[in-house]
Amino acid sequence: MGIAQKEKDCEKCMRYSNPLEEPMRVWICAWILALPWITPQLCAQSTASLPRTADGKLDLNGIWQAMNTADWDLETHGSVPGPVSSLGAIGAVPPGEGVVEGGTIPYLPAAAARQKENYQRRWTDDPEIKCFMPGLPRATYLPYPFQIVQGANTILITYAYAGAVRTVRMGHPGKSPTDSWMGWSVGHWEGDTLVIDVTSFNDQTWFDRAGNFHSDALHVVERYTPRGPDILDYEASIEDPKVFSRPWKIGMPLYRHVEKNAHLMEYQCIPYAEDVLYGHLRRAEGGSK
Amino acid sequence: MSLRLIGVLAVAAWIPTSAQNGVPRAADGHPDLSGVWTNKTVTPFERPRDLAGKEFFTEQEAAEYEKTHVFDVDKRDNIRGTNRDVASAYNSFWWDPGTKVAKTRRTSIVIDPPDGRIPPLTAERQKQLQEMAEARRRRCEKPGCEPENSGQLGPADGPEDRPLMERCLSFGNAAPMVSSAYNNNYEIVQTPGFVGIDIEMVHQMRRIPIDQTPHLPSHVREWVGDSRGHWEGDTLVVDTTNFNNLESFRGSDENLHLI
Repeated sequence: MGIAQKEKDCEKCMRYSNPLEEPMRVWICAWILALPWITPQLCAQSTASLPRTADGKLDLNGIWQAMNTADWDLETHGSVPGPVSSLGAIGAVPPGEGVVEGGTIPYLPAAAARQKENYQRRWTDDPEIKCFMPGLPRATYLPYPFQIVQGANTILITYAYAGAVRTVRMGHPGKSPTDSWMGWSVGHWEGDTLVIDVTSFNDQTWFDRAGNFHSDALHVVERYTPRGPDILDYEASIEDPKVFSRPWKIGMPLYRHVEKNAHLMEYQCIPYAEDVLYGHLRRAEGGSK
Repeated sequence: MSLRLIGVLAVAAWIPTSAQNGVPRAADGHPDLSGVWTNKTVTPFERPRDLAGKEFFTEQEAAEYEKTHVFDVDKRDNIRGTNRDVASAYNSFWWDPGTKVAKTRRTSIVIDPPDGRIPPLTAERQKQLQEMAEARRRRCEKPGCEPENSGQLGPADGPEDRPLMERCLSFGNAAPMVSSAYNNNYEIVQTPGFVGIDIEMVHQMRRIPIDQTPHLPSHVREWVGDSRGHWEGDTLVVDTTNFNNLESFRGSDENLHLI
């Protein structure tokens, strides 16, 4: 195994290490380079042994889910009460460490103010309340599973939430016919990493329940890299010059549902959101609305 | 009876006649169904009474039928100022139901029973549907009520009274997948253990595991049902159950078993 490959393995292995662990990371990497025969055992499992599709690509088929509180807030957050006190601990917001590289989202000043307003109105304005399509990257870390259906030219990603689905066209040269909630996804492989470039979003989705948001200039590049048969490293680069002062990134592991009977079930939430959206139009008893 | 009827229908709608020979194959040897498909057609779902006993059109009859059955929404006589005029105000630009009969030149999408007609509903179900229609009619005794394009009566007391189409819940063409007024497009992605069908109309998703696991317990109900697939030769057979009681295919209830 050459040095370049070892460095690559090492980088893969350490991608999500905490910045505070930097000295440890340097030490481990040095050790790996010194002891090449240990590398495959120490680092992320070598991808050579992972299952592959007939066309030689990594086989990402399966049901996946994030295990974090990113949908509550991409940034680190403590617990706070929920909007319905009668729900007690069920309805409260759980704490969680952030998934934003560097810790904070680099908003432009006006956008930072807008995010604060969104936060104040989050229990009424969050599109998730309305069962709207989640957009990206939010669909990935909603607290529900999703399934990758990997064809050679087309990959379907189908999400339990709201029956959201998107088509990832591999190497497609065409332009999006229109803006949409889930955007226009074009994929390619970089080695064993599935890279999906997503554009043509509308400005109607949020990134989380804390009011983090974007405009229709959003550009997301997702990277799905296996660190073993049942864990994917997920990284999303986010660019939106109308809202952020620079591009920024989130990263998190995604875990495979390994249960024998794992199936994606239907979470059709439209009927649960109709009263929120249209309840004010409901005919009162004996009324004339 | 209805179970078998619908099963044959799904195959008729899905496997083009040319698919029996020289089909592209997936690496596991099964036919490769991947791609974007359409089933739009002017072939009537049930065989019209005046074609009784005639299973196939001749080439000439098919051409004649296509000419006389082009869907021309612009000719509809909506009355200005009515609910229907607003709700049905799409002109033909928005519609895409097809202009051709099925390649087999069958005179109905229903191929079994051989008369091309849906067997009658049970007396019990007919009574149930009549009661539901009566409830809608009573609601429509309130001022301003008239039938809309979907046949549903309006206005509604609340959102749950509106048609499933308007609520973006279902256009009734996901399970089974039957031709309707527009968006008759389906993207199939196939893997050795799973087939996904993304339905263009309100992005309903058919999720079809090719495995031996049992269906969901009967108290769990889904809008597009719970599907399991298996291969019989070159035919993908999909068995779907666990429908809810709000969706109905031609009068079916939640016990619809679609093969």
